[in-house]
Amino acid sequence: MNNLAWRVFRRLAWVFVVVFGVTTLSFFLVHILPGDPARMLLGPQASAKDVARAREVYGFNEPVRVRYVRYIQHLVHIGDVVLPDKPRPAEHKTCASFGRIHVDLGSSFHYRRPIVDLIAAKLPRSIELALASLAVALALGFALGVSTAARRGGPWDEFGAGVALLGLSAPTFITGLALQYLLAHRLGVLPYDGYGKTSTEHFLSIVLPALTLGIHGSAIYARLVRAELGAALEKDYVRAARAKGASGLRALVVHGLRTALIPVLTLAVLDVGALVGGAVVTEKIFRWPGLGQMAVEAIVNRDGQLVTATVLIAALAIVTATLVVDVLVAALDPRQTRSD
Amino acid sequence: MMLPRAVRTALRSRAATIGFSLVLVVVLFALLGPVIARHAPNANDFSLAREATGAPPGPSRQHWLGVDALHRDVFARLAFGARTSLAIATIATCIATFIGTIVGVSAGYAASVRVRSIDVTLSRTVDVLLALPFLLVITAIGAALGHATPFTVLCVLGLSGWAGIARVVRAKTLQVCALDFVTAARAMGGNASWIVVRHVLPNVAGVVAVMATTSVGQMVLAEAVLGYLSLGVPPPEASWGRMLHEAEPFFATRPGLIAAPSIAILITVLGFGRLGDALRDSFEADTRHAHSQSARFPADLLLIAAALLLLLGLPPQRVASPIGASSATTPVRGGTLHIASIVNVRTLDPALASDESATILGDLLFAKLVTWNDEGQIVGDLAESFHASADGLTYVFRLRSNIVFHDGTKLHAADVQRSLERTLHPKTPSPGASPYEIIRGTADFRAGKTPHIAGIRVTGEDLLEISLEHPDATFLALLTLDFAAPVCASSGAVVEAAKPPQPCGAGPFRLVSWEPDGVIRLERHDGYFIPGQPYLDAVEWLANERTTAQRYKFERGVLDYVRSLGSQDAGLFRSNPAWEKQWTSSTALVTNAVFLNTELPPFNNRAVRRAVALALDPKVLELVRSDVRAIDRIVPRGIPGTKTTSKLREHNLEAALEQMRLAGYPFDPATGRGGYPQVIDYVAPGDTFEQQAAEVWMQQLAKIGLRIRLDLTSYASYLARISKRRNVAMGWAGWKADFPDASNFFEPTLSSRSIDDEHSQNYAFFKNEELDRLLDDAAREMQAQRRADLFQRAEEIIRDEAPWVPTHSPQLFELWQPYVRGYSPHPIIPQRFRHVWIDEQAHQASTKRASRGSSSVLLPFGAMGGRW
Repeated sequence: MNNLAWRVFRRLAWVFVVVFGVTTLSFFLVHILPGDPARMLLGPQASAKDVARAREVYGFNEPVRVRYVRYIQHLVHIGDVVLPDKPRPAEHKTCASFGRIHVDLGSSFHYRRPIVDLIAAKLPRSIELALASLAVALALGFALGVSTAARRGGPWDEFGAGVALLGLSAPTFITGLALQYLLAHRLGVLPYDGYGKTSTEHFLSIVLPALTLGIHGSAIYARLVRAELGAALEKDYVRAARAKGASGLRALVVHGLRTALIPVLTLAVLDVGALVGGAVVTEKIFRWPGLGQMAVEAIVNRDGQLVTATVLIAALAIVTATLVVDVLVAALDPRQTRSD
Repeated sequence: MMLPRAVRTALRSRAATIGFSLVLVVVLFALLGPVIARHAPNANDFSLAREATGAPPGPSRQHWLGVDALHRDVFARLAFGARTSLAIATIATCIATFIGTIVGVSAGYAASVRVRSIDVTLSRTVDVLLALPFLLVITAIGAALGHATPFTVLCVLGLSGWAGIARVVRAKTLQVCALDFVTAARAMGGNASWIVVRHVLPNVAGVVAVMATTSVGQMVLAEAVLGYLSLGVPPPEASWGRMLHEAEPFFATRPGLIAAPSIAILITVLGFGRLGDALRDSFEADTRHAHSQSARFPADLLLIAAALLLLLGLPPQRVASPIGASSATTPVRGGTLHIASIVNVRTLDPALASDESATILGDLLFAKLVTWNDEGQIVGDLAESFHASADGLTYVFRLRSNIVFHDGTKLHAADVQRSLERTLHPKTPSPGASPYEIIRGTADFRAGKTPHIAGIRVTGEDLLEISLEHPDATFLALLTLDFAAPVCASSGAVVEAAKPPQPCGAGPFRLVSWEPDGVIRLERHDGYFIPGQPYLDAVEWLANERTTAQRYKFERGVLDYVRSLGSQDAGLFRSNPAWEKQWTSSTALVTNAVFLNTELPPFNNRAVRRAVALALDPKVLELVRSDVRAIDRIVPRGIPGTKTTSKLREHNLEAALEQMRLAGYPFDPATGRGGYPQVIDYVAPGDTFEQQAAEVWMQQLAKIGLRIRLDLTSYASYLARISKRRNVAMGWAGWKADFPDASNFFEPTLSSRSIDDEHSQNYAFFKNEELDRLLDDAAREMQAQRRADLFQRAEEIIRDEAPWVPTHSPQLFELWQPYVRGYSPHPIIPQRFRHVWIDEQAHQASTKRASRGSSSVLLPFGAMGGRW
C-alpha cells in the first residue's frame, strides 16, 4: 500500500513538473516570437506615438523575467472566498476562486476579459467536442475494424481498408465543408454552425463537427483494430476458444478485442489531448466556441498570457488523460503492472 | 534474417502488387510529368478570361486540367508538385519513424528490464512534446528558423511527428517484451541489443510499418497546414497540399481544382497504405508461416475511380433566385436585421475600437457631433449647427436639446468634453488619439500636465467651443470618428483597457447582449433624438462567420445582408440575373501598394524603383478576380476632393527595361542575361490575397531582371519587420482611410515625419522635402481646390520617385434581400444601416418558403439542371 502511495505521489509530481515546464516554456516562447503585442492590439494604422503609450499602459515594457515571476506568483495563491454571484474584489479581478485558493491566469488583451472567464466558457465546449468526436471515431473505427478483421482477405476487407485510407487522407476542411454543404445546406437536417441555445440545439449542433473530426479519426482506429484483432485471432488461446465451441463473434469480442484495446486506448488518449486544444479548422468551419481557435488567434495576435493559459490547459488535459490511461491499461493488462 | 524474407513474402501478395503499382504510378508521374507538361508551373496565362461565376477557366486543349486561381496550368503544377510533396512526405516520414522507433523501443525495452530512469526520461520527453500544442511548436520553430525552405519544412515535420510514433512503439515493445520468447532469450543470456534486434524489432515492425505508411499521406497534408502558417514550401512553388489549400475557395464553382490534388494525394496514400498492409501481413505471416492470399478484390481502384468521377463530375453549384420581392417605399417600423462578419469583434468601446466592424457597429451605437451625409459632406448630427471662426482656429457647436443617452440621462456639451478627454486621457491606450493633438492644449493634457484640455470649453449647457493649435482642414473629419463619440457618464473618465465598460452612447441603437465570438444584439434606442427613427426593432450581428456559411445562410434567408462574400461566393450571385438589383460593388477606401525601401539596395537607386513601377501591371489582377480594381495613384478615388482626371502611370515593359539600363543593370529578356545580380526578398503576410498578388509581381519583375523571393511571415512579424529600419527591401503595404482625406494617406505612410528606427510607418523610409512641405501646406489650406492641387502634386512626386507603387484597391460586394429596404451603399462610412427598414410582408412570405429547404433526395445532383 505504501508502495502504491509512493507511485501515485511520483506520478503527481511528474504531472506538476510537466505542466510547469510546458507553461514556462510557452511563456518565454511567446515573448521570443517576433511581433509587437501593442502594435497587434492597436492595429497597423495607429501612430508610433499611440503605440508607445499603449505599450506603457499595458506594461509591455517590463522585462520578461519580471512578468514571469509575477505570473507564477499570481498563478495559484491564497485569497478571500469569492462567491460566484458577487463581483470579484479589485485586486483579484482576474482570479477564479476555489474556496480560498485562487487561480489567476491574467487577462486577455484582445478579448479584454479575465482569462479564467474565457476558459470557463470555452473549455467545456472543447471537451464536449473532443468526447463526441472520439465517440464517433471509436464507433466507426471499431465497426470497420472488427468487420474487416472478421473477414480478412475478402472483398469487404479490401473495401474497408480503402474506406479507412480515404477517411485518413481527406483533410478536415474538405470533409467539413462537404458535410456542411450536404447535411446542413442541401438537406437542411442539421444546423449550419454555432452552438445553439437549447439543449436540443446543442445536440444537433455538435453532430457535424463531431462527424468531421470523427471520420478523420476513425480511419486510424479501424486500421489499428483490424491489425491487432487479426494478430490476436491467430493466437493459440483464441483458436483454443473456438475449438472449444465459442462462436466466431464471441472469440472476436471476448478474446480478440481485449488485446486490441490497449493500443487503441493509448491512441485515444493522444487524440483527446490533441482535440481539446487542437480542433482549429473544424472549430472554424462550424463556429464551435472551443479553445482551439482561441489558442491560434492568441498566437497570431501575440496575446501572451492567453497563449500561456491555453497551453497550460492543453497540457493539463493531456497529462490527466495519460494518468487515466495508465490506470486503465494496468487494469486491462496485468502484465504491465508487473513489469512496472 | 527475417526482414528480407518478409519483404519477399510481402511482394508476392496481391495487396503489395496493387500498392506497389500505385506508388510506381505516382513516382513515374513525378519523374515524367514535368517533362510532358506543356507549361511552366509558375507561369500565368492571362490570355484566358475567368468564367461568369468568377471561377478560372476549366480544362481545354491548351490546359489539360484547367488553370488555377492565378491562371497557372494545373497539370504542370500537379506534376512539379508531385516531386516536392513526395520528397517531403517520404523523407519527413523516415525521419519521424526513425527517431520514433528508436525512442519507443529504447523506452519500452528499458521499462521491461526495469531500467526505469531511461524509460521515464524518454517517456516524459514524449509526454511534454505531445502536451505542447502542435501549432505553437511549429510556429516557434518557424520563427526561430526565419525563412521557410524545403529543408526547414522537413525539420519541422520530421521533428514534430516522431513523438506519437514513439508512444505507440513503446506500448507495443512493452507487450512484446512480456512474451515468453523474450524472457527465454534473456534467460539464455542474450544481451540487450541482440534481443532488441532479433526479437523486439521484428515484432514491432508491423506497427511501425502501419504508422509509417499512414504517416506518408498525413505528411503531404501536414505540409499544407504549414502552408497556412507561412511555414510550408515557399510559394509560388507548387506542392499538392498547397494546391489543395488554394483550391478551397473553388469548392462550389470548380470542384475539379480540388479533385486534382485530392486524387493525387489519394493515390499516394492508398499506394503506401497497401504496401504497409502487405508488409505487416507478411511479418505476421512470417511468424506463423501461413499466408493465404486469395484472389483479392481491387476495391481501392474502384474507390479511386468513384472519387474521381464524383469530384470531376460534380457540376458547379448555383444559388437559388431571391425569394419574394418587395416594391414598398414607405418605411414602416419593426423587424430585425441580421448581418454577419468574418472577423470577431473585440471591443466596441469608441475610445479603443479601430477595426472596420467596430466602425459599422459604432455608427449604430454612437452619435457624434457631426457626421457624413449621403453625398459625402459633413453635416451636424448631435450638433444642431456649427461654425468656424474666420481664422479657422475656433469651432462653435450648438447641440440639439433633446438628446438622451442609452441610460436615460440627458446629453449636454459637458458630456462631449468629458468623452473627448476620456479618449485622450494619458492612461487610455487609444489607437487614434494623436491626430487630436491639433486641439489646443491636448499635448499638455496627454503629458499629464493639465487636468483638462484647454482648447475644449463648455460655454453654455448646449454650447461647445473647440480651439485648435493651427487651422486644419481635417478637424471636422476627425470629429466624425468613434474616438470623438460622447459616451455615458458610467463609462468612466478613463478607459480601463483590460475590462472596458459596456458601450453606452446616444446612437439610434443600444447594446443589449454580446457573446464573445458570437451574436451581438442591438435594439432600438427609444430616446433617439430623431423622432420616428430608427425603423428597425433590432440588429443582430453574427461575428466569426466564414464567407461560404454566410452565403448559405443568406440563401436561406437567415441573413438579410452580406458584405464580405469572397470573390467566388459573390460570383455565384453576380452570375444569376435574378439577383441583379440586389447587389452593388464599390471600391473600398483602401490602397494596396508595393513599397520599395529607399535606403536599401537596389531600391536606393531611383531608376530601379521607376523600373519596378513601370514593370508591374496590376491590371491582370482584375482578370483573375472580380473583387479588385487596379489603381495608379495613392489616394483612392472615393476620397472627397481628389482629382481623377488623367492616368498617372501605365505599364510599359520597354520603358522599364530602359530604366534598368540607366540604373546600370541592363537586362536582355531574350537571353535572360543581366539584371540585378542578387535575389531580393519580398515580405508579405502569408495565406492572403497579398501573397497571391506577390506571386504575380514575381513573374512580372523577372521580365526586367529582378529576381524576387517571397518571404512570407505571420502578420505580427510582418508588421514588426517592415517597420524596422534597413531591414526589408520590398514588400506589400496597405492603407485604409481612417478618415476620408488625402492627407490620411500621405502623412502616415510617406512623410519623413513617420520614419522611426524601430516603429516606422513609412515602410519605404522615403524622405522628400518637397512632399513634406506640400503636406504641411495642405493641412493648413482650407480652400478645397487649392488643396486638391497640392495633393495632385504629391501624387506626381510619388509617381516620379516611386517609393510606393500603388497596385490595387479591393472592391466591396454588398448583397441584400429584396425585403430589406432603404439601404444604399454610403460613400464614406463602410456600411450605414441607420435608415434601413424591413418589408415584413415580403419577409414573412420568404421565410415560409425558405424553411422548407431543398428536399432533393438525389444529393448533390438534384436540382442541378438536366445534367444528371
